[in-house]
Amino acid sequence: MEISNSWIKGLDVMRRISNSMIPIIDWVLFFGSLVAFVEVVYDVGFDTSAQNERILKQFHYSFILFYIILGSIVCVLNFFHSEKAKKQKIFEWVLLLLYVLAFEFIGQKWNLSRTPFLYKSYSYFIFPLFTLTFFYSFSKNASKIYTKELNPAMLFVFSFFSLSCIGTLGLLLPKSSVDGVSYIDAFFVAVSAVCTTGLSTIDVSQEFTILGNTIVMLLMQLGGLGIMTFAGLFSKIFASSSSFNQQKILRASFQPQKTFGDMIVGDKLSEVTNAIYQIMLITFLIEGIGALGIYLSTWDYPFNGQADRVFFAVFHSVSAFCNTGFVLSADGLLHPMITNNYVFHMIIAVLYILGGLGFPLVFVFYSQIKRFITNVYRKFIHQRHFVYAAQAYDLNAKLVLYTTFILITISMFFVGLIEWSGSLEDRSFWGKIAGVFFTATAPSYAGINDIDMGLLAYPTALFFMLLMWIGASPESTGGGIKNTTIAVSMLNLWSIAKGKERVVVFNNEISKESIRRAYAVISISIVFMGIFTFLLFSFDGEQSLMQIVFEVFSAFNNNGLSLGITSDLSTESKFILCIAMFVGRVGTLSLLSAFLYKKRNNKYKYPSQEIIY
Amino acid sequence: MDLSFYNHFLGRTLSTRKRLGKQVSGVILYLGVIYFFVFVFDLGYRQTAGEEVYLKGFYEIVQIILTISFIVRNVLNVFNRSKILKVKLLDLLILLVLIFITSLYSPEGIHFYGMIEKIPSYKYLVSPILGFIFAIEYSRNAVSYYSPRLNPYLILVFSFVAIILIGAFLLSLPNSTNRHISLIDTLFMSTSAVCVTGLSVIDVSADLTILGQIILLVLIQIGGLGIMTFASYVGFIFSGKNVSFQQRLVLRDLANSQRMNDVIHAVYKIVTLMFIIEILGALMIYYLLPDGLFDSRGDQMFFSIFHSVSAFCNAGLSNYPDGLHHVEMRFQPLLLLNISFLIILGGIGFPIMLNFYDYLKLWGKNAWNLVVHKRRFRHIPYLINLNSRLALYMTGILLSVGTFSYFVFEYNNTLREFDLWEKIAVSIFTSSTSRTAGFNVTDLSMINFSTYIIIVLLMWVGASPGGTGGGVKTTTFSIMVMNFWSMAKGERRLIIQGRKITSASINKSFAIVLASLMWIGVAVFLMMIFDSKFSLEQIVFEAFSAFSTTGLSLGITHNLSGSSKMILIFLMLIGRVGSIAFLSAFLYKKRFERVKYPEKEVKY
Repeated sequence: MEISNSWIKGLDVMRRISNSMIPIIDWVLFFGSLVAFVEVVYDVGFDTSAQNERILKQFHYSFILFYIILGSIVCVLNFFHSEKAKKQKIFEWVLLLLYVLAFEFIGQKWNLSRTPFLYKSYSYFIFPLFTLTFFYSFSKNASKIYTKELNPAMLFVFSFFSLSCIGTLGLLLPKSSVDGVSYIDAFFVAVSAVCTTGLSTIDVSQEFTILGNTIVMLLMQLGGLGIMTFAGLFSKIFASSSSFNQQKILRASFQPQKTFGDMIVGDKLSEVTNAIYQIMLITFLIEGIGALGIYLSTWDYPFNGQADRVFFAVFHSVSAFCNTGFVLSADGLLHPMITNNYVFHMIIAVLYILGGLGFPLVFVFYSQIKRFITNVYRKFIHQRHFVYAAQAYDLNAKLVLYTTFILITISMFFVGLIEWSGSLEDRSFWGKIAGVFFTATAPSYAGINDIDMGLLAYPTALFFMLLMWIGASPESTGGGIKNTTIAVSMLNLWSIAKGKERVVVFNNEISKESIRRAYAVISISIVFMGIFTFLLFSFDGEQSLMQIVFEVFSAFNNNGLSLGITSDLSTESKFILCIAMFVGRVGTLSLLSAFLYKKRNNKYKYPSQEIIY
Repeated sequence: MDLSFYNHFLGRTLSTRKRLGKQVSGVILYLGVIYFFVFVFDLGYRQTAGEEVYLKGFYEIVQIILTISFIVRNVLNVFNRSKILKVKLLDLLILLVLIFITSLYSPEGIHFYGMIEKIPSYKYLVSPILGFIFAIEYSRNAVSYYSPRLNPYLILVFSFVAIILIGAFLLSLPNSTNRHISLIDTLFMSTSAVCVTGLSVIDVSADLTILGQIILLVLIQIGGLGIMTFASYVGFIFSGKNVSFQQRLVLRDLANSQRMNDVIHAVYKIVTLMFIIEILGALMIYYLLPDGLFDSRGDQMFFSIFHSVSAFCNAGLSNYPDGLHHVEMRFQPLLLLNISFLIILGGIGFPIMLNFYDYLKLWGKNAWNLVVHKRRFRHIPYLINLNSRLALYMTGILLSVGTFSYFVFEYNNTLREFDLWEKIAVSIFTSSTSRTAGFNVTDLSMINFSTYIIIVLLMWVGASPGGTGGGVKTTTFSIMVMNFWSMAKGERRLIIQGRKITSASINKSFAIVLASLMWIGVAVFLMMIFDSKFSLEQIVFEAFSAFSTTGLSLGITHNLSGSSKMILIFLMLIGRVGSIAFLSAFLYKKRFERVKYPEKEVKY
């Protein structure tokens, strides 16, 4: 008995020690990894001399040692730590193991620079490891921020802004660009990538190196998925237990235009955290398949090497799925090499439409395909019946599907009507079909131009502005006011004109709150675009109104099409466009509510009043 | 009693009387049709001396037939108990007028009145009076043309279209114009007048004769009275019959008033108020005009009336070369202020004016009680209702924003030629004229882009509901702004000044805003196709101006293609009728929503 008593006492002491020690070590590790990360950035981004390299190697060596010592302490203390999740403990063990490996590596081959291959693999191993360590400890500490009561809109704004700033710094690194870029251009491209817009003041394909383009790609990916999803993923994996408050914030990432009140009601919260995994999984799955398709479709192109070919495929896959629209050739898709590769165009179109449909719908597709495959498997292997799901498509999914279908049909009709013998004249029949499909969908989604925007007829440009404004579907990587907004507003208009009191669609009544929100979103977007046009025009009065309005629509709705004036704009205008992209991405309503939101009680009723118009 | 025999007699002759009454009405109505065409022929074409004799004869015959018909009808009225007294009195009044003019032109009458010199010639006095009598007769019989089953919005749209077509027909008469004007242009001008827009494809002062200008003025006046009168009129018609509650609601909707009785009463008030204001306005303009500008006092008087009506009805048409932009006019700050005051009054809207009238009446009564009877003030809570408040605040805000920004942005541009007071006056004038009147003082094609945006915004928002102005209306705009403000603040209800705005109101405001943008967008799109030679600024301005029935232009209206003019005509009509009402004309159906569906949120 006594032995077990003292045993328990000892355990208790150890637990207390570990509970108090681990946070301290975490902070130390965080700052250590921050330094290491800065060093990695320096190493990757700047040209390093041979003498520097020696010092840097020594630094690597010491940081690895530093981590091995602290990491092993943490891992040992983890045994007594009760609150930490099991996954987290395992991850820390794996990390420690990797560092030990790195130590072995660095110890054996001290003089690496003689063998270039080994040097390369060394940096390919060490740099990601350091970066991973940094992000791991960063997110561990970042998850503590969420536990405080924080306006999700504010958090959203802050996250996007800091990501853009980090991206700017990354693009400003000497090794990122060929001849160096100005601050405003780097900032513009970073914001454009994070906000998945695709407008650019410089030619991304020519001005940036592979490193720069990789940074752009990462920014697109992060922006596309929503930085909140990423942060949410990290804190979900690593935080001991997701508190209710954290999950509320995660919900905000899916519905940026919702406020706290909306977040509490609604679907079950635990589904959200699950959804993040699924988002990641499906995104990478689709991007992977897309990249493979692009890789195959550009098989016979003269690239510098296999790595370039893969990078080309991955970049475009990410760019399309995230609805950004950056392209790695000088004239976009008009480059003579790819302008007639319609398979490539179609893959990109399918990718951005999938991205623009929104994750919920893509989930449904995914799970239906999965179910079908399992069903086929069960049928032929186990001779069992098919199992069907009930009501796969809810009201939102139906709205999205119908609206998307209608919009694409209408816009294909229009574009075909106007441009068939216009800008598409010298193409083959299938080329025209592909061109019409691509040109009709690009304004709602990615904003990659398949035709020469300079040749565009004015009415088409007006029509494009409408499509850009309507944009993609909610919870997607696309921009605009979202096509469900326009669907609800048209339904509202229709039922008011018919003299109905309620807005009913698909045997569901659309709630009054939803209609109010649609109204707010639409009116606010027009107000903001008006202000941006006003500002842009006062700085760049020499451009025509059409060009400027088009630019503002493109920026605010995160689309990326341009009538070709972006690079000629003044610095002030570029900055205003950055703000426009930012505001558009965050969502005007959530941006305003970040400053205005106040908790208030609704315990009393007011007399109601009709308004005359 | 003796009365029993009397009643018996009445009962026996009932069918005879009824038949007789119907026959009399029929005679009058058929005669009216003939009269209308002859009258138009008389007005619109130059006649030879021989034709003049025939015309005079025709008028005399019509006068005689009418007098006989009304004598018969008045006799029948004595026995008719079911007829309302007011109607009987009207019949009597018409008979008296007829007898009076008969007596006036009979030899005895001439002798009796002894002022033959001063009586206008037979044709000019009698023919309009006869026309007026026919018009009254037709409107009284309108009951039988409308059925409660008809879609009231459709009637609304059709009435406007009918007036526009009649107006276009009258304007194309040879006597109305000094030169040949194409059909599309007369249609455009008629629409512009009826929809109180003021966009013009011709030079009103040079191309139209006095007759043409008077026709234009009448069209403006009818258009200015507009929906409110129309609705009360239809309401009046319906009120005699079995009107469903649903329809009453629609009428209430059209008339922008709470109770049906209000609507019918309001129309008398409105017409009176309108004429009083316009007459006062005309007098003011008359005295503020610089001397020596006109050939005669008559011209000056006509100018004053034309501009008073045009300003109060928010039309913005002018019958002077160059309008108020003329050198003699634009340096008259008091004249400009007077006109902008009329514009603002017209734009405030009748329901709100009546609301304030009630308020002032109460205040006056209270003051009287306080001074004479030493009684305390009696308050009626919320007498000035939320609608009036919203409209008033928004009017104030828009006017001051417009004035201020025009003054600042154009100080060194279009305002350069004016001195300080004139600058302020012109700024106020432009700000109020942008709120859907459409007079020009400065050259708008020279304005800065900043001013351009402000003017477009002012045009789009427009005036207050129930007035003569257009646009999406101040209340709509305030609900739009308040809605996104309260959404951003995270409120679950829209509360303004202690009142919860019903979701039906919010939805309607939403629909109006969206529909307005939709119509304008489609119009701009089409006009860009038809008139690609003009820049986007010019076309957008034109479309906003037409839709909001303002009438300001960057100077391209004359040069537009026929298709674009047609588009503008539709846009003006839709803008005047109301974008939702126009849709409802084709979509509205009386329905009962008995089924309730589950409510769902939609994600954005």
